[in-house]
Amino acid sequence: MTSWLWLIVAAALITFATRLAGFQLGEQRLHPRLRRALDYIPVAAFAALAIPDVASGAGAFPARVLGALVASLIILRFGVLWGGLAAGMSAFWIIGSLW
Amino acid sequence: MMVAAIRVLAMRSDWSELRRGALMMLPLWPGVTAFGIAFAVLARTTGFSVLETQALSMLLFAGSAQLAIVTLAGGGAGTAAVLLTVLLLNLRHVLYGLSLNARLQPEDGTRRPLLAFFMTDESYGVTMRELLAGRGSGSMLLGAGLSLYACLSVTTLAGILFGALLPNPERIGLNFIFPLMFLSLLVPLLRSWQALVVTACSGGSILALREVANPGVAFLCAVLLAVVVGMLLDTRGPRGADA
Repeated sequence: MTSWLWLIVAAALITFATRLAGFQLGEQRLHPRLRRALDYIPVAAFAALAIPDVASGAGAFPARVLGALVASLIILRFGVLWGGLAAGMSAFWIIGSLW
Repeated sequence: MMVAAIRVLAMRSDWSELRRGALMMLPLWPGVTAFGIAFAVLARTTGFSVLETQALSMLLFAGSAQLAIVTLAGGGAGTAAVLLTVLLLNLRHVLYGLSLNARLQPEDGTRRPLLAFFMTDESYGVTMRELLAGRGSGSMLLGAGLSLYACLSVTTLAGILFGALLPNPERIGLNFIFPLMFLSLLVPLLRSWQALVVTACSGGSILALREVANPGVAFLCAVLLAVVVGMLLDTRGPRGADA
């Protein structure tokens, strides 16, 4: 339990370092290919964090898949984070209670 | 006298820019509130203490990295894997700093650490839009960041208190809000076929890899593989994916 506090402090230092690094590097240019590769990190990371917990996790499988679909459609249509989360959780709970 | 007057004027304009930045973030407050509460409940459910949960929001102040730490450390991943994941998730900030640095005033140089600590995707986005239009400033960036920071800190605390009132968060499947959150961050980024392929690669590999490796290593390998695939596919155009 207590060991997590040091992990959090270390992670905070890493986070701060990445935020500061760009400012300190000045106006040096990155190779466009490297820049585009960095653009894919959020996509790949979010997919790797979301997909396993939809494939297996809390509740029934159909409830998770339909909840994920509903959340995706709402965020695409309205672009509002809490709207997608609320709709997705509602679908997940409703279908889960029927299952 | 003259110097004092200039200093007062500078402070005044600083204050108004701070305020402008803070107000520009107001539409995002409901989203940050949902995140703060959901994050706190998840962290507490996963076994993080009150202090650790609050520290994640107030020391890191980086939503996706916070969620990754809770999931990976809570799931038994090793320290090195968690920290490498945090580094990987946060590398995009380097690019934000690079592009801001070229447009901010020289006097912002001395407070770089302060500007850097409070910089997020959102505050960078709105400030850069203003800077490109010939407005905006380091103070606006700071104001926008402080606005989100205040909101996230308070709502994390609210989530800790609210979560304690819930009879059993796990039983009603509150954990499921976590993959939903990442889906909601992912889906708006899927604006090119390359981004779709990267998503499929990353999702497919982590499902296969987590059968044979620990969660942190599986995550790192899946993400690196998907990013390399994305880089190989991305042969033209200034931008493959907006992030």
